[in-house]
Amino acid sequence: MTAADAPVELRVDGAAEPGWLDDVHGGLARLWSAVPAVPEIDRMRFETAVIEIATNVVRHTTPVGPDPVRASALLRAAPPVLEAEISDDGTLVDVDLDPAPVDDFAESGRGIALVQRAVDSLAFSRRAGRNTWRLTRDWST
Amino acid sequence: MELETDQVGHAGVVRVRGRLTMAAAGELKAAVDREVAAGRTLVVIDLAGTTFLDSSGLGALVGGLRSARAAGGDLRIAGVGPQVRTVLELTTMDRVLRPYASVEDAAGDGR
Repeated sequence: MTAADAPVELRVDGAAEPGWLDDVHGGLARLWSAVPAVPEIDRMRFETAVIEIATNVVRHTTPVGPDPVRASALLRAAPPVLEAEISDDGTLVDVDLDPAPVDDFAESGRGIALVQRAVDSLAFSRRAGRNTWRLTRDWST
Repeated sequence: MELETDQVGHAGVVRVRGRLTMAAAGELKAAVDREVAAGRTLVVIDLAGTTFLDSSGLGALVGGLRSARAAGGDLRIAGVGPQVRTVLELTTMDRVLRPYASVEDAAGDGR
């Protein structure tokens, strides 16, 4: 395996608040610097999807106990696949992975469908007390 | 995100610099509402400096479009970059918010 094919992985942890979203943007910028081979269209689509899901975490999670929800974004480029695992320690969130289409003049409700079009796969699971989202996009196709 | 308002002809122009996301959506909607309330019901959103759009930011644009149309006007977008265009295309909202090449084009046939 050459250096160019070696996986690159980084993690961005923080309280599930808007400041963490800025940190996730920063993490993605570092990932692109480390893996310059990823085409621009794949970067844009992956970043759009990751930020959309991370924003969902900030918006829709509620803490289990007295402490704020903690969130984590694991960002990984394992050529030719981009992967993200976004998780939080909040209570189980209500997820609809088959959302009904919204009206043209609706001001919300487009996020999940946008993510599903931007990446190859989106999955949600509840594991070890964490809401866990997994996203992948293959940049060779 | 930073907002700057301006006028081109009769149109109110709102320039958006940086990321148009959840944190900025309310501010943009308020800026559009101010333009409409001031009688500039053709509002052009200049996205040339917008580096990133998410569904919350898109929702704010749609909210602004509703306000402008309710007042008998319109909201138009101009100067979209590749990421903004991608979000518009993936949500098929480019049918509703058709990108204009420039602010002047968008403001051109305003009243």
